[in-house]
Amino acid sequence: MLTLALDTANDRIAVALAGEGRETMRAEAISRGHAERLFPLIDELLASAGVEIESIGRIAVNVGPGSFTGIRIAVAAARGLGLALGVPVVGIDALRLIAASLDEPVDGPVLAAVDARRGEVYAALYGPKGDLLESPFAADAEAILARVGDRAAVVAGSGAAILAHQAAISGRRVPPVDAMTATDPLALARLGSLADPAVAAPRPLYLRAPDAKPQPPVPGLLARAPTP
Amino acid sequence: MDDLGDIVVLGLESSCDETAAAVVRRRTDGSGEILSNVVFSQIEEHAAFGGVVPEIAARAHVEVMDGLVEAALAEAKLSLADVDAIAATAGPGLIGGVLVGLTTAKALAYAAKKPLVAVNHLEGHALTARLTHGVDFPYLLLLVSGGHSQILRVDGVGQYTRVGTTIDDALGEAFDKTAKLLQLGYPGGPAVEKMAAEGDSRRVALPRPLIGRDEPNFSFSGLKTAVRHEAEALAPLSRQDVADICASFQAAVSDVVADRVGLAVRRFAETLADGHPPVLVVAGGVAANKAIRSRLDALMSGLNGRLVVPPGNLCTDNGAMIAWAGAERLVTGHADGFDVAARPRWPLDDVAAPLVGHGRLGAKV
Repeated sequence: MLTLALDTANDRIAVALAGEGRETMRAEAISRGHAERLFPLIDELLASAGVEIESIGRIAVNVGPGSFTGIRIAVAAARGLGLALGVPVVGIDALRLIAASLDEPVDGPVLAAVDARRGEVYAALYGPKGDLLESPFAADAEAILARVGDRAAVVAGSGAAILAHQAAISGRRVPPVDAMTATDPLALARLGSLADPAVAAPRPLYLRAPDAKPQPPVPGLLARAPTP
Repeated sequence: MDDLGDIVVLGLESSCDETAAAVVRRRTDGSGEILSNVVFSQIEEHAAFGGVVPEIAARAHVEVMDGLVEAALAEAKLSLADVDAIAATAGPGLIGGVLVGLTTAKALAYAAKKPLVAVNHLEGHALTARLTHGVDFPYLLLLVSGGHSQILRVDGVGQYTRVGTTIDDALGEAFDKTAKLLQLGYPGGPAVEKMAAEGDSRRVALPRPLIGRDEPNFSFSGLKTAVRHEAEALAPLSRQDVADICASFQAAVSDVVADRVGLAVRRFAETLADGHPPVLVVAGGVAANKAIRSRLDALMSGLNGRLVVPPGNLCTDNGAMIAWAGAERLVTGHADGFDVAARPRWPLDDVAAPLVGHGRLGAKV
């Protein structure tokens, strides 16, 4: 079975094809315009592999955490392709993808970390075989270190340097940092080919609520609330 | 290029707070038929905020879009293979939501090897009356919704001339903000109209912005402020006070709309051949307001013209209008590439000088 993987969660667009003895990918650094570039890139990937879109048996998508808009582009594309082709779509979270993209294999748990900006990091802890030890969560660097820092054999991802820096200034053990600069699109395709579609739903994983607060009414304006 | 025969188009809409998908057939003679039209409204998710929160909207769109497409195809008793093209709103609107619908459409078109049409949401509203009433060009369009208040002359598919527009708030926005102030809930249009029915429209003196001016533009920002000042002066407000404010507000905007649209229709009528009655088409959520509608009805009767208002569910945002606009575009030979970009701002009349919106995103209206 061929799995097509899509990733537009961050400042990059990546597509990959894995299965039936082939592994091929395309990735481009891009800060905006993911939605314009995604399908031309898929087309280039399939054409170079000599694969027709109808031959795809499964779609895998990075569901985040990451850029809210970016996540939605790949998720919408994946779900649209799944619907049109009649094939399963599986969501793989960005932190698991980091843990599966390490440059060097490690013996102990992997702390995957994504810079969430605004003083926070998205984090999750995985065992060496990819087993989930701490589910994805968002917190400030100090809180993440307090919760899982001691268990991490290595920390990886765009939030790794933030966690290492925080560990140093707060006098904690500084975990080794994996030098990975980007996740592996083929790892996304491989994880996707193994995932259970009944469990790995292609739904965005935001880990952060929308930035909106209900606005309080003007105090004292109404004698009592009218009920139209 | 009407040699395509009958064409069936799937349309996707996600530019504001409704996620929608529909299947429409356009026959060779130019008539249309709606085969399905499904809408998922997010009103409840935004109600607590008194208006649409873009991120909440985008999150809701991506959860339901593919399901709505399935539902629209099932209701039309068609498969994707039976559809001739996929159309989606590409703007203007809330970009996070637009990207969901447009990207879904790209995926469907790519996988099913069908043409893709990136539709201007406003063009969807502009052409709906041709689907529902078979209206011929040219006609005048009054588009009044929560995001838009403009008068356009429609001479053909893709041929729009802006006649007038708001220089600040949209009319629907003025309804929403009045409702929010008076704690009537969201969306504000139906709530204000309902309260207005119990009120005295002469109780509160409100301005009629731009009435009598030489250009048929709108302005509702000052009216919104005047409503707040009057409400604060009368506070604490009884239910009757609220009803009177609503009635006075509705009377003020009805006067404004009748005056501004009246000017535009009279000028439009002058350009038509003798004996050719002017047609005014109304679209957008505010078209549902009965007070405004009866004023427009009287206006058009007085001018020996015709008022066309599509059914309510086709005046508010929907997929059928996008599918139809896509079909009308397709028969002119138009289709888009997969690299087509979503546009947060996309005036129908690209030539008219912007009255609102500058900078990076360009003209808003």
